[in-house]
Amino acid sequence: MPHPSPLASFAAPLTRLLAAAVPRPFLDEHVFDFYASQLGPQLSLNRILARVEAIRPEARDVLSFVLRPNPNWRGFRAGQHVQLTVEIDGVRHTRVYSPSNAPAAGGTVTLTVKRHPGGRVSGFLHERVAVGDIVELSPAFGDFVLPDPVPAKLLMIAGGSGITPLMAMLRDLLARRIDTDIVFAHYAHTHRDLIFADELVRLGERHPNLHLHFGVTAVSALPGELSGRFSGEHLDRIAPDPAERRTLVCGPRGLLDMVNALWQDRGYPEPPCGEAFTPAVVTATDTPEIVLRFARSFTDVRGDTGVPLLVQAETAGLRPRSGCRMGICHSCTCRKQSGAVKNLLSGAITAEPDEDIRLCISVPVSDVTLDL
Amino acid sequence: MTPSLSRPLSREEVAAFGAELDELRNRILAALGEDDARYVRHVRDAVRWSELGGRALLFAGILPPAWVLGTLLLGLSKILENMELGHNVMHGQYDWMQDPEFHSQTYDWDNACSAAAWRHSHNYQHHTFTNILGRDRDLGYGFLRLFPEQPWHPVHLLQPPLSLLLALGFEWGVALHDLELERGLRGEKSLGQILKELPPVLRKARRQLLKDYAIFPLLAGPFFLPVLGGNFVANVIRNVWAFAIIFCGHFTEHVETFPESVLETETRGAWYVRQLKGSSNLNGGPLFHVLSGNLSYQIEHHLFPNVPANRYAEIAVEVKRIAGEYGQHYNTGSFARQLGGVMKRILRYALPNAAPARRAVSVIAEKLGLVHGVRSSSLAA
Repeated sequence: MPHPSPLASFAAPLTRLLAAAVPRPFLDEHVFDFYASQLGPQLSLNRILARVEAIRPEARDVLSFVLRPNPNWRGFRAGQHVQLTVEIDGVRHTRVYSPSNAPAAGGTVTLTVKRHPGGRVSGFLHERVAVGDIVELSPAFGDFVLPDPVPAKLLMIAGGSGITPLMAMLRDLLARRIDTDIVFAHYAHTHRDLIFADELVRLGERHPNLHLHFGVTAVSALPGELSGRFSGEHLDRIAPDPAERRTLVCGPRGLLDMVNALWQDRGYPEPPCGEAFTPAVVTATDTPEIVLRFARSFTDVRGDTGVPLLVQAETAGLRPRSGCRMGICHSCTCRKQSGAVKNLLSGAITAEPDEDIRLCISVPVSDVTLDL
Repeated sequence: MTPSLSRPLSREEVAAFGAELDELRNRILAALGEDDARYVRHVRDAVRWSELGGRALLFAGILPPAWVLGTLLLGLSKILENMELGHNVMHGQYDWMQDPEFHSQTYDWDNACSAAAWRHSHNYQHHTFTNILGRDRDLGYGFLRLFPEQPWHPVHLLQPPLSLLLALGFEWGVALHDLELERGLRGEKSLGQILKELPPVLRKARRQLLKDYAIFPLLAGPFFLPVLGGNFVANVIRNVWAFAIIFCGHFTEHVETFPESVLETETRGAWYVRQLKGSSNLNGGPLFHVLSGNLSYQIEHHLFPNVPANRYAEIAVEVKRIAGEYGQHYNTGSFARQLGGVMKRILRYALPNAAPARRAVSVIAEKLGLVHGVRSSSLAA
């Protein structure tokens, strides 16, 4: 396993000491980080900079990136996510991924990334990131975690790359030698798309409490496998006692909807705990019916695709900072958390999550969430 | 009014002129990428290393050559940081990188003026209302008279020495600028309001003063005084340079001003025309452009204040061509010539417009309340 350079391991406590010695108002994080980074590429006051330690294939178009973060990383709970930030052609892009490894695994974070057609970040990660590169992480966040205490019986249903948080939970449970009875169903389009298939099989052989089921939706299933999308019939086959199990689901929106509907139909007491893991594909909508969400104000309003967001925010009673109202002064710069907007000056449509936009020259072209 | 060197444009021509510039801007913005990010990081690197070098040399400042070199290096670092890094980053020129280190909303510069105050008085007020009398408070900074259209007051007689003071302490002038003290004096802004806006100004001032005149000198121990002196001179070097470059941007010979009424009907194209007529460029080599924060391309900067400054040189070629096609004067000249024009204005408009000295004296006398009965209309002559 590669180790950080001796200089870096010497410099890390040194920079910490320095940071503590400089009074806060005089400590410019970026100035500090500039000089610190000369001593080691991962040295930073606050930022979580992670080194790519290994890259391995997991399935068709799926790679796992084993990352070793610097000491600013405070760990994660299995099932949580992190924001991964990479710089592509001078622009930083951020995406959310769930680590797929067990949190105890030696301080590393493994992100398992499926390459999406036309996906800017997933494409970059697959083609241009190499061992030794530095990427940036956010602290871990999210409530989709194992219940505490761990229930006696679990049912986990994973669809496609939605397996990553469930895989982290599974690895966590098995690593902690918790004797929970686990039914684990994993669906993908074809056999080649089944992420972690080999490892799951190995785990199933070693752990009698793990009952494994693979399902394929786009090709014919092999004997013993589940065929087609998740259904009540599948459920009866893999878990005759679903009412007694705590159910965790992660996958595309359709899978979650299906599971929820089934649980409601059958009147199981405990609703499944789920997370939709749909790649962020936001495109302009044709319908004029859009929703503007002002996250910090907890305000939702009907949006207008023909009016700048600044005007719409003001109409909704908000008072965002503003200035020239013509796109030059950047006073109204605001973080757009999600959605697609059109720049009125250039006509360009951008749908990046977590992107700064100027409200006065941006019109929404889909549902938009703003940090206002 | 100053006679215009540009021919009047029809409404259609103004629209077409604006459309050409919009097209130019979009073309440049679409091409931004890794090279531009690398450029701003190189500038950042130069700022950081020159500051480290300058401060380190000043710590050995008991040796005269080290003191001189350290002071110059620190002055250079502050110039680079204020002009090519801070000013441009705070304009949002590199916001597209989505990097908090180079983001307009988070960057703060090594200057007595707080980033928030600067973004308001400069990015918004000055860049939106460029050269509009009564709206662009950079037009004379509230106390200088640089155009015949500005009303004369006897206090303007003092503006040559006051300008010199402003040059030496430019960062402090800029720091106080957003408080609009001159409006307070005229009774247009309440003392309460000014006091309310004061704390952030003081906070930034204290930070700057402590940094350069307490912390770094104290760190130098026995060499307290050489470090303090070097920091002071470095700040003055930056102040004088920034003053000279910035005054050359809007107060040179052929620059035009505009009445507030233009705002009533101004289209986007007309806004571009006003930026062109209200700004002036400086000729020079690549190093000069970098040290001026590319404000030597003041015209391009005012047409496209949030386009990365490292693109202004290539944009200037096109802007000059477009201006020529529309018969608009493209105001450029050597640093010496443009600075000469600025100085001429400072001296000339310290006096009232009326040319004959005797009449000037009588106007002054009247303004000072020494005599009565001189008709104020003679001012407009």
